[in-house]
Amino acid sequence: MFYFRKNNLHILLFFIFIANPSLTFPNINNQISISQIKLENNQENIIIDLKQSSQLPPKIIELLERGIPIAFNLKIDLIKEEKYWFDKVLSQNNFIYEIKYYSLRKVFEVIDINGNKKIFEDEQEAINNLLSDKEIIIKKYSYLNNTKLKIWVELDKKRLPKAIQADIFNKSWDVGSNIIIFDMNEL
Amino acid sequence: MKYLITSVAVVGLGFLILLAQSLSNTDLVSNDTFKVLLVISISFVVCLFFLIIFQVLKLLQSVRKEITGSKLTLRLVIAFGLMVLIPVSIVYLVSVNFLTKSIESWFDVRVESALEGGLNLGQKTIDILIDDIELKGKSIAYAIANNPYEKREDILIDLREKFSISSAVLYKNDGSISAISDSNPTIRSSTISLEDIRRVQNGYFGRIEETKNKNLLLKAFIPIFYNDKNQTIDLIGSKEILMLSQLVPESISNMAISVESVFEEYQQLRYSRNSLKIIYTLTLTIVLMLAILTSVAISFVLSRRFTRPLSLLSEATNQIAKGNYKKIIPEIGKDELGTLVKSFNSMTYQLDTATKNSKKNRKRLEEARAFLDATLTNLATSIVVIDKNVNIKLYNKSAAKLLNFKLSNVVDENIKNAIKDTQKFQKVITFIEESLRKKNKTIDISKEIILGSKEDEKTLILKLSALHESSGISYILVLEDITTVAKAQRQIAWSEIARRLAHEIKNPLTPIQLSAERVQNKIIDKLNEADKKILNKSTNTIIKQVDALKLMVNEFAEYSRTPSVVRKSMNIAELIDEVSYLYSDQNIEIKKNYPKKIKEIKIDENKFRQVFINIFDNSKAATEKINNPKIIITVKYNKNFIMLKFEDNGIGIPTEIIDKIYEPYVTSKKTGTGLGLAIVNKIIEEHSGEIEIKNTKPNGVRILITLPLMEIKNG
Repeated sequence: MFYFRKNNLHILLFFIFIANPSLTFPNINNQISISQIKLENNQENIIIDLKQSSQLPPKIIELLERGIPIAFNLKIDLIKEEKYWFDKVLSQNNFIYEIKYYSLRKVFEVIDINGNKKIFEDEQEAINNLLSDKEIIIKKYSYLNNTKLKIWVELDKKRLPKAIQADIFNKSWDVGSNIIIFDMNEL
Repeated sequence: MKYLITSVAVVGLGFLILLAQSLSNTDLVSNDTFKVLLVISISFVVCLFFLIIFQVLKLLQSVRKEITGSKLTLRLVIAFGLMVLIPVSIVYLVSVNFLTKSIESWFDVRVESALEGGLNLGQKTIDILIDDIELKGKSIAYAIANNPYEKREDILIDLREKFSISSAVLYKNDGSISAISDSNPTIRSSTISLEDIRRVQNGYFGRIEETKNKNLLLKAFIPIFYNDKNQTIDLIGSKEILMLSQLVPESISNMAISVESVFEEYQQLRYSRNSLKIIYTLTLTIVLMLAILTSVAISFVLSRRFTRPLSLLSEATNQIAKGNYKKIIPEIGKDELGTLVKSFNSMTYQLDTATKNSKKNRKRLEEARAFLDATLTNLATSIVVIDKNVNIKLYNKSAAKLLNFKLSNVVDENIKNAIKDTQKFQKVITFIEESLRKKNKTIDISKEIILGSKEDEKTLILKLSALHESSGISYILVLEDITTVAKAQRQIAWSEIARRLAHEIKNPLTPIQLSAERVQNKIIDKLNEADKKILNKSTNTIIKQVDALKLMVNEFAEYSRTPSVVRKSMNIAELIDEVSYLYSDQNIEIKKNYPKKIKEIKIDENKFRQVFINIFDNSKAATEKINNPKIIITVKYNKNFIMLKFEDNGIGIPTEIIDKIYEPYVTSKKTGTGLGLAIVNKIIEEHSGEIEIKNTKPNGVRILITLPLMEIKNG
């Protein structure tokens, strides 16, 4: 006990090391911006229209040009905010869209959120197509009072090649967007 | 604590094994599980590190406090630690170096160049194939355009076969098929996209597609413009689209795809180069840390196990040195240390038993000595132990009081120097010197001597005995003060004399007195006046002297009478009042100081009346020629005694007789018998009391009678 009294600082530093999320789980850089979100509410579904920035971070472009498939995950969560605990997630929706360059054929293949493939010879054209306006339809939750819609995009690291996934200390791959939250009461 | 350290080390080792296994599994490395494992492993290493630091600090503290065994433990821990640290560090450095170089070699520049070259070669081959199919397409398109429209299908079939093209389709502007020819219907595409129709308006183009079977398919789109020479008017200016499809030879296709795939994989791997280095180095570092820390932790446990019996033995030895013989060490194994511990415990037990016995004997000795001291101290007999040089070795209180030593402690002093009044005790010194001069080893001599002047006479019996000790010979001198006994013996003798004298004198006195009276009565009438006077005078003188003799004889008889005390409970103050009343009209002031409550005591009333009459008589006689004669009577109680004090302001008792005042026939009065105070003293002694008579300053006498209260009460 004597030691613990005397060495509180060491223990504190140790717990800071363990507890600090930046040391254990890296932060996501806001390198993609999402904006101009429009929400429509019909009887069965919620229709979301959103615009993304038309540029990809240079590190991602580099990956793309080296023939590494890049996938983005558009996440839309319906949450119920809790005052003193983590928010309760009522429904989770993931929409994946992907781009890949075939170096032999010198073409870009874009797969949209519905799984449709498109081939582009021009890189910018392919990127524009990838980041084009998205219309997303999610099923309406029966109870929407005091709920919020949380929308954000992040690089789907799980779909990156394993070799890159193993690069756990490189924060360049922590690419994501700002998080937009909509109060469903206002819908 | 050692269990905690071992547990942390074992758990940490477990996590490390998991971590090492996860490295061979790319799926595991790529997800969060690896991170969690890494963090847990690092946490355990950190925990272990702090626990060991704690142990080291504790050990250093023990060394500073000089706790037995701590220095040996520290040395062993350092030795064990170094034994592990040096080889493990070498292995670590070699491993890290080897690993880094190996990983670098995987990503050699030449490999990348070769892969890029292969990919370029594939691309160029494909490009040549596309150029070839485009050229063929142009030739077919030219032939169709410059021949009658009706022959287009024949030309298409003929030229396709001639150019060995898999499929040739002629589309109209609206996308409908105009003519078709193919050798491999699986690759035939019955539709053309609007994008392709739009694009072909700007000129021919070619592209590569991937079939469902993962084969490469070359496609060329060529516009056909019909001129007006060989065509009907309807077709002039119109155009169609020729689409040629040709599968890349399987060998080329597979190789090109393979090169592309390897190139992509290599590009992916390039990104993991640093991470691989970091992960492997980190894992190795954790392994190193865990190995070193675990070894140090184990070294703590082993060192303590080695040093524990020695520490216990050392501690127990210290305890025994401090006098704690009850220290028993728990038995440890059956090896040499265990035997040593067993022998030590046996020795401790024997020591303990011996010490207990010694303590018991010492206690007994001390008690005996204390008893002897107490006995000697409180013994009325004076005892002095001297050595052969007449130096005092031991003496008791009575001896100090009797011999009146100069100092409070006269041990080792020569008895001559120790005694204050050597002249007075010269006989004692001479007795000792004469006895020792005889040099008889078994001296046992006794002698009665009388010391001092007549006023301060002391009768002593001296006895000197030799005492043989291991340290030499000593002599015990016993001095018995028998002054009181001698006095008592004298009193008894006096009583006997008085009784006999009284008896012998009293018998003839009455016949003498009667004879004198008869002579007077018978002869007086026969004599003349002158003779009558002589007779009367003579007979009266005889009668008076006989009366005086009778009085004297009665007092003798009283003094010699055997004591028979008849006690009864009474208020002594009332008795004093009764006696003092007899002297109240005799011009003497009598002052009384009594306590508020007078306790009744058991005394012989008549005898005490006699005591008080004697005291008042003496005071009256002493104050006859004094102005304002005064007697003050005080009665006091303490816990066990009653004290009666009589003070007068008379002429006092002459100093030459004051020490013998209790003896018969000692008086300062001309007409006194000298028996009054002797009788008073006797009565007080009969009541177990004490009497003290002293002259007071400037004049007067104080008589203090002390009577035991309980004895008087109980009778």
